[in-house]
Amino acid sequence: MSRFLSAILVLGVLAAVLGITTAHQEILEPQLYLYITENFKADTGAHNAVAAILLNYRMYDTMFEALILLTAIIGMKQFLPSQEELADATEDGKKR
Amino acid sequence: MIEAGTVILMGVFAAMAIHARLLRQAVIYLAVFSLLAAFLYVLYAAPELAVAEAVIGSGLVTLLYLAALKRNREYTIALLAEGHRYRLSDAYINYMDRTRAIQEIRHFFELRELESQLVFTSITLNEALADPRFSLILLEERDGIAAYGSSDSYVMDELELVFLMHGGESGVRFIRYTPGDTEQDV
Amino acid sequence: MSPEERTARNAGELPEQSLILEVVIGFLYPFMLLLGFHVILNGHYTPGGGFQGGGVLATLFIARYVVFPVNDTGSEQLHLNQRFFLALILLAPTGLLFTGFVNRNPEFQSLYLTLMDILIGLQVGFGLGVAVLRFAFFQGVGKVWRL
Repeated sequence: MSRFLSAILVLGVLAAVLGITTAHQEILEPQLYLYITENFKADTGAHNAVAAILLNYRMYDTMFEALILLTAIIGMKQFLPSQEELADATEDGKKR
Repeated sequence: MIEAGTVILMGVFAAMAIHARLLRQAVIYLAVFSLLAAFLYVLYAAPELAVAEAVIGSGLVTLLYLAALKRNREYTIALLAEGHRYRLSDAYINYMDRTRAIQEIRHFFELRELESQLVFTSITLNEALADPRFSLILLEERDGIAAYGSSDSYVMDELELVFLMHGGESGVRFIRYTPGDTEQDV
Repeated sequence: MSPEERTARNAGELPEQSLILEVVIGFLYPFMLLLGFHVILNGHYTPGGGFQGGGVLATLFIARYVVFPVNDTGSEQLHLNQRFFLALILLAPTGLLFTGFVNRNPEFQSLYLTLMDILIGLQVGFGLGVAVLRFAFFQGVGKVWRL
């Protein structure tokens, strides 16, 4: 029963969000959007606005995204050591 | 129309993943969710993104979740009926299931989302101590229940702490053993 | 599958794998590689790009694990490669983009985009490969995993 209710809740919130967004379109300031969609080809040589933004307009974002992946994998290595690292870390040095 | 249907199905699968009874089911629902997202990308004319989403969401992430779940062990609790024939009867099982100690242990495992199963068995205490499949061995004594917790398991440290703090109320005497010990060692 | 791998499997050191899986994944392996590099190299034409292509490349490690689950790849070497490509990702825009070199010379623009896509794709491929291998071959730290 609670499962049914929560499904109803999720679907209701989803329908409400979809309905609000279709009924009421927020008008954002269009300058940046218009500038990028008109000039990205001449500015960056990309045929695809997403690549233009990721690799040229917002390159800092991409660089730090790559750094985040490195951080995640360093953390993963810390928590899931391999057998050799484990053998080095234990005091008696023998493999478990 | 087909987009709206896909989005609604994604919502349904997200809710099902949250409310799945088993974690494995939730992982499979999440994989289906990713597949629907990939289908949505195809509808929006981005087949490369769809391939990447299907690969990462349904392949990589599902594999990582399943590999992590494989480490999650099921805890087997043995309830010994050694020397007492009536202890294998349905009435005794029903009675023990409703005692406070068993309820507390079940609640303890439920809180940590670990699977526990209770086994009523007629083997002796020494055999149970030597058996590595059992993490916790319960034995009813004259004035309460003796709980033998395996010492190679961190969950048993916590359980011991729980019973040390208010073990007197449920009448549980907690004893630690290392697998391979006999009754005289512990 | 090399002869020594075949002998290792025949000697019973590895669990028996399904022949269908082996043949199908062996057939698909080059196509997965091709698809990964296709997505990476067409990053500035199509909605793909470095990250997506890198994800496809990382499935090669899964495919190999499914058919031949032996830990001889060396995740340490893969992680070294990832750090190497990360250093290049940090260096290339610093030298090419932020100095204004690319924006002054339009003939280098798509070359720069392709270079960055390749670097990001390889970095992500190696990184996710390390993650998959770590999870797949983790044996446990004594009693931690018994919880």
